[in-house]
Amino acid sequence: MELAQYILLGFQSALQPENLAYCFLGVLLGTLIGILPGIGPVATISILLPITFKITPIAAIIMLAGIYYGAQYGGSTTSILLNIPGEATTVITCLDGYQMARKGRAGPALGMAAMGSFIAGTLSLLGLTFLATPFTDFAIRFGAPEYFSLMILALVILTYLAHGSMIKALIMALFGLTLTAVGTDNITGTLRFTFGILHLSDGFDLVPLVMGLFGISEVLMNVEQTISQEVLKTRIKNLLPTAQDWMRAKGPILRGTAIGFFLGVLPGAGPVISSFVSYSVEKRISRYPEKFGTGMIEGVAGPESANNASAQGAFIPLLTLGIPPNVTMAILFGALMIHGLQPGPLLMKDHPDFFWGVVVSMYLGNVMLVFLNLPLIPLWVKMLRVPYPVLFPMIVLFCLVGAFSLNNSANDILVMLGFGVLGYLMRKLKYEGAPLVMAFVLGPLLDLNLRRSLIVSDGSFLIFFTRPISAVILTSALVILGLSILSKFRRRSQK
Amino acid sequence: MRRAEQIACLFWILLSISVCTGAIGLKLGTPSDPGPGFLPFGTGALLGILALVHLLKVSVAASRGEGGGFLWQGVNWQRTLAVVLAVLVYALLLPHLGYLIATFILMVVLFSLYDRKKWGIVVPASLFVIGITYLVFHVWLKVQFPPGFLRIG
Repeated sequence: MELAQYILLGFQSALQPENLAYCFLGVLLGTLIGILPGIGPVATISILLPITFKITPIAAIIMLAGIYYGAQYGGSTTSILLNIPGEATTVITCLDGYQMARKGRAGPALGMAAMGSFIAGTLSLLGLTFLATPFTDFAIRFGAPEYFSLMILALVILTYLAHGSMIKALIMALFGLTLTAVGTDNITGTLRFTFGILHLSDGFDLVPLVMGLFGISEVLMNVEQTISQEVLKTRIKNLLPTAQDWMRAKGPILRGTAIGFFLGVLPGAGPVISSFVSYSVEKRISRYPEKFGTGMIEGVAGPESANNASAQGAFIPLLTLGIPPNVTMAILFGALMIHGLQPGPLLMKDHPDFFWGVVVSMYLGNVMLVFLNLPLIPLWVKMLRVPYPVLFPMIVLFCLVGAFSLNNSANDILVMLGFGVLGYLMRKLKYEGAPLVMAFVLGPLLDLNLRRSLIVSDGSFLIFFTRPISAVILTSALVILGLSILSKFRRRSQK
Repeated sequence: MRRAEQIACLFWILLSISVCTGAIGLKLGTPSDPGPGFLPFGTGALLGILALVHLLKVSVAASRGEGGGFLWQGVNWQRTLAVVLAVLVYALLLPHLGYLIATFILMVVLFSLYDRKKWGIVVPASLFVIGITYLVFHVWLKVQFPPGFLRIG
């Protein structure tokens, strides 16, 4: 089938009233949670995951994807008006966005953030549309050794780019892999680490795990401190940026799109890093770098475009290679598996209506987001006034009901609470949850592909280095790991 | 903080030992025919090695007087503990009390956690939230909630 036919098929699928409604619901929820500090897309997707079991797989993924990219739009509103980032991806937008708001230019800052996000999101989707087929054709040549190496690379990059200590990130990844060992072994059918508990024979469910690690632990972290929610009292007028604003922002938008897209495709990078890289690039090439942080529109346009482009670009490795590049994609990977769809090259070949339906829904979602974000900004500002003491009991309840509804069992609530407390302690001790979830999602496939490779090679680990694609991927992972250790030693010796 | 870090490392080391022991019991197999304990043993062993390295790092830093401070300094940890206990009690009582009663009690507790709000606000807010979740999950998504001893829900 030709690309045009695929896109037409995608429109047919995405324009079904049910899918359109879930797309709208997803981007609406995404915008909302992007705006509200204290709850992010990872927690929201985790909380809503059980709800999606009751709807069709395509509607489920369209909605969950909408939450993810919708949150990138919404997060900028709090950064600009409150100087509090709604999401980690919009931290950098605070620097110039809030200064613009203080100078009475909140409108153009919000407008540019939304328009930049729209342009970047759309361009990134074009990239996804055109690159999906070549990526899939390439990935179809992958065997067990290549998949094993690719998963190792994804985990290594994720731990390398961890915000804090790399050793802690590696411990988390290994803990995630250990958790996947619980349950029935895929190859021999042996029960592993179940300790005679029937509930554990299928292993840990992804849903209570991510709900606990991200939903409950976020609540536990937030309730121990008081979140200040002072909205800047400024009149939001002239949402459309001026011609001069556009002249200054067009370069940053295009550069931000390119940076975001490529970093989004890479495992481990994602929207947070993209927005920071875009900001530093804009500052470096600007003729007035000293003015950054005082309300430069370039400092809003670049990072906002980058985080959106990155969010859309991240779907390429997930949908075509079956490798989630970040933690949100890891949860979506889990959602696809729960719905009986195997992410990877065969997804596009076997379920073209699903694949292209999801891609096209993102185009539609981007259009919806512009209309949700620009005219409704005064409404979103009002939402910001919902106090956290009122918000958190509802988040807790959604988590509880979500966990319970999995198997109609209160045991799942206890498992979720256990992971919630664990996640809370991890956050306190600066251990990141992302490598754990990524390893937990990839673990069963990693185990399977490692054992298959070793059986094929008659026990020789050299199989990972004798096959060219696998060798390149695994060597890259080892080089990254080596460089990281080397730079640590160098830093220590300099001290 | 450093004491907590050290305890965390000891936890990882203990976990690693139990995973490795369990993996050996499961049969490791050979590289040409890896058994069900093959990967868990590898990940468990690596986990232990890394935790040991981190423990040494933390202990060296501690001997230099770095990384002090209490993990719960300047925060309202009592509120966190209250949420954990409330959810724990909720999970244990849910099958007996049923969804509507257990959730109502939980919501009243959580809504009153920050400050003692007026009953006139807490009770209607709790009922409203329960009503919404009941409609979404039970009526729309057909989730079967436990009816409890009163057989409602």
